[in-house]
Amino acid sequence: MQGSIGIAHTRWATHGGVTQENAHPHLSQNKQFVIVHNGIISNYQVLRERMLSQGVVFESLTDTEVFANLLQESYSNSKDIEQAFLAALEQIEGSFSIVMLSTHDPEHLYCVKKESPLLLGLGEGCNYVGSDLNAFLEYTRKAVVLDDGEYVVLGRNDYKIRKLKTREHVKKNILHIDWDVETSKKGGYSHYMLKEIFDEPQTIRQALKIPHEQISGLALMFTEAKRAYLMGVGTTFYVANISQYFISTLANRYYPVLSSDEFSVVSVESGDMVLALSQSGETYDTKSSLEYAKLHGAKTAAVVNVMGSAISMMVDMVIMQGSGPEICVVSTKAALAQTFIMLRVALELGRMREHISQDVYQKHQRELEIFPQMVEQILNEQSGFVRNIARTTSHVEHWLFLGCGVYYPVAMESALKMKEITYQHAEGMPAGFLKHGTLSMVEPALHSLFFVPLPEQKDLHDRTLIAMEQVKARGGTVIGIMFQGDDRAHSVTNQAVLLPKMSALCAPMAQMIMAQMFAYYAALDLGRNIDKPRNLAKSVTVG
Amino acid sequence: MKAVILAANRSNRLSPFIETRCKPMIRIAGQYILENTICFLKEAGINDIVLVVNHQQDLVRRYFGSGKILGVNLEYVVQDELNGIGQALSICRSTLEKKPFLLVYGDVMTDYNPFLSILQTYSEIDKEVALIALPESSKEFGNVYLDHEMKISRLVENPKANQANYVFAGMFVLFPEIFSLLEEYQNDISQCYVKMIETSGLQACLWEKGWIDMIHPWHILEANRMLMSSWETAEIDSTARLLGQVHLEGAVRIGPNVTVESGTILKGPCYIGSNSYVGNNSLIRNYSAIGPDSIVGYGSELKNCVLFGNNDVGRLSFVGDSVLGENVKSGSGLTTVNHTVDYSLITCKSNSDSIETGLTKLGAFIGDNVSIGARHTLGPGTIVESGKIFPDNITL
Repeated sequence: MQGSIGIAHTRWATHGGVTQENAHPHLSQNKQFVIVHNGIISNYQVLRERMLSQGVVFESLTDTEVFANLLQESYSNSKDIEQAFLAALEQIEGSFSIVMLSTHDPEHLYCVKKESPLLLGLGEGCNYVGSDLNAFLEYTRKAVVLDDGEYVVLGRNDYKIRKLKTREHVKKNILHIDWDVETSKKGGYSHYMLKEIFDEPQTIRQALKIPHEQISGLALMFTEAKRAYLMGVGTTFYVANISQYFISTLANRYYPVLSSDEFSVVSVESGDMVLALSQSGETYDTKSSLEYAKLHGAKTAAVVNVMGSAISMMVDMVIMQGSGPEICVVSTKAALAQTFIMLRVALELGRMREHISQDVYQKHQRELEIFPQMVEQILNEQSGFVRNIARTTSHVEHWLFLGCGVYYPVAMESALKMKEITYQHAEGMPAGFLKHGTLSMVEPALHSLFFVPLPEQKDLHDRTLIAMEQVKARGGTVIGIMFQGDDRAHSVTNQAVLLPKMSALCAPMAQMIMAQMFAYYAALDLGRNIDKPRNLAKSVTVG
Repeated sequence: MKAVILAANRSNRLSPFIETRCKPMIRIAGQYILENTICFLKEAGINDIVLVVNHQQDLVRRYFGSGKILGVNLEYVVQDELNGIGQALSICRSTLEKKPFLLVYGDVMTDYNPFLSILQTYSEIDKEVALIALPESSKEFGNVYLDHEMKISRLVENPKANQANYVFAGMFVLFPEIFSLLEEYQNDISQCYVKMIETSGLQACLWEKGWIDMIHPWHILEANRMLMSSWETAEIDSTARLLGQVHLEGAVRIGPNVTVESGTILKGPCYIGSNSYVGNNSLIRNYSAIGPDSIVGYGSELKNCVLFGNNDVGRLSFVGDSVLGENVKSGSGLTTVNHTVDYSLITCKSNSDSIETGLTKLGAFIGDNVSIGARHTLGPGTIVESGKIFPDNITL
């Protein structure tokens, strides 16, 4: 394809089905205005009906095409492209970022940001605009993060940013991205997911490098808060749940975990605190709930991966996890790094609250420091075993993922991974739930994956074993992720992954990694589109 | 880029088939392993191929000649003494020492083209590359450790029982510097790889499709199954004759001048080589490969088996999970028993060695030029040395 200017879009459908007609870019009826658009134009139905009555013909069902035709209409009035752009914007409501290209000014792109992410990339003799850094990271490391209510006229060598309301010129900082471009390439890996799993030792090393002051700063926020909440959605919701167990065990503090889209169930006020987890930092539900918390006077904090993202900019305190770009739609290394960072926070909180002694604290610190090496070992030495179990079970359509204590949210997160990339049904639940109902489903075709604690975690281990035996006794198939030397649990399983012995502190994370690999190899056998599973998008920037 | 294929080695573990051929000349799904490899190389744009030969090299030379038949240029280098991979490579020095080249172990088989992948990785990073795979057991192979950039960080030749890493898949892009390393380490290729990993680095290229290294005879069946599973179409030569009611299902491939008599059912994937004859009312089930010039008598059943060629299977026989070498002839009523009554694991006995196969279904392995009279029953895991003759099993 040749040309000097262009726009493109990988679309996550909000309005209209996934069809060729509904795919971006969209054109105006006279084909003079081309649009790509992220987000939702909430009043598009009204506008569409008005235009339909005026004889405008639409080719798609999208809100985007409505805007393209609005532009055509505005331009016929003003004959000025920038004026037409602004006039059309005045008519639409909702949250969106839009990029427009027109035959009337083929040298410039017109871009606007309102509650959907948009960034500029500044290159040599070429500029870029995208909703995510990864869109242009390969070509430039210099970026400008746009704020809500700003629009840009972007040329090959120049850009002008103005405020929508006042039209006044805005001067912005240029962000220098320190991610290594090479790390966002696949190299010899066939899928980004496996590359990102093998990147985990490195991401944990990065998480260990986060300055102690930042970790203790966040811990301090918890101690000072009247009430504190942990928040995430999807994978980060489960990471928040794992964090809840960490904090409860190490600091004897219980903080409620809320899914970002259900946050409205609590009323927050001044003195409260909300900690949000987000890989992209653009998650719509999380962002909205943080805005709500801020509005009501609560303090906000976040652990985020993407620099310059909306959430990282809006909270009172942010920890940048520095895990590098995560390309695969399902989160692996970023989720693990967040879990690890939250473990550091929990430890710090435990020390501050004097729930753990200095000696225990030091011992745990040492355990964290050797964890990256441990991850390297298990990734390499266990991959064949995990692959073999996946080979023999990838056809299984129904799974129970079960664990006790902190292994319960690990099971839920792992079941989500399984669902996301294999499209098979996997249900995560506490192992103790079985006898209260789910046991009725057990038969040989139903497979159960147990996250078996270390034998020295006696109570958890005993409870898990009881559940395993319950499944076994009813003819169910039992797969276990467990630790070497655990003969009791091993004898109950049909197949098992045996991890080397490690500290109880890091054991849940090691199991999480094995479950990520398990989902990967199962999806590989099923021939799934692993990096881009059907119906899913990396950053869910819509509500 | 040139490629060198190591085709000289003789491994007794592949008895009873290795005495009469080298490993790359094993015919699977109607095609020699070496033919498969050369076709993949050609598809990846590699036309200049060096073949290192020794054991049963005449077979290779006779079939492939100058390579013209496959559209490639073949150069033969003879490895007089079989002293390992390093030595085999070192004797190719004069023809390979100028540019990067592909090193291919001649006894590995893949279902899809691995050279396209390894060359892509090489072109992206311009470094030495090793193809790596994740087989069901990594015990027999060089186990590698990978770092976050997919570089190989360590090589372990004899892994512990509790580890199962990615392994070298027997295909590499190497630079001519390897020859000075070979000199330094007395042709010990493992030491050369270790040195490379420690100094210039060795990039991994992940192979996630089918991959089999021919070590034991049952690997022939596995490779046959793997290759046939990749078939998406049926192919029937225009000269083949299917007489009367012949039922076909799935990817059935039939070569020139084959005759299949009425009442026979062919369940794909399966293969019938040129000039073969299948009698009435036979059942040729999935993953059966009948080599050229063979006869399958009336009412016989074949299932998951490889017949190398020029075979006679007498009427009313059952051949399942078995391999018949070239020129094996059997009378009527041959039965290969392919599992024990209790489906226990099957042990193969050869040259007074017993090998655990880890399989619950396995028939017999019959070497070349064996003649078996009528009404013989072969137990699971039986190995018959080539050239044996068994008279008819007559009760009166």
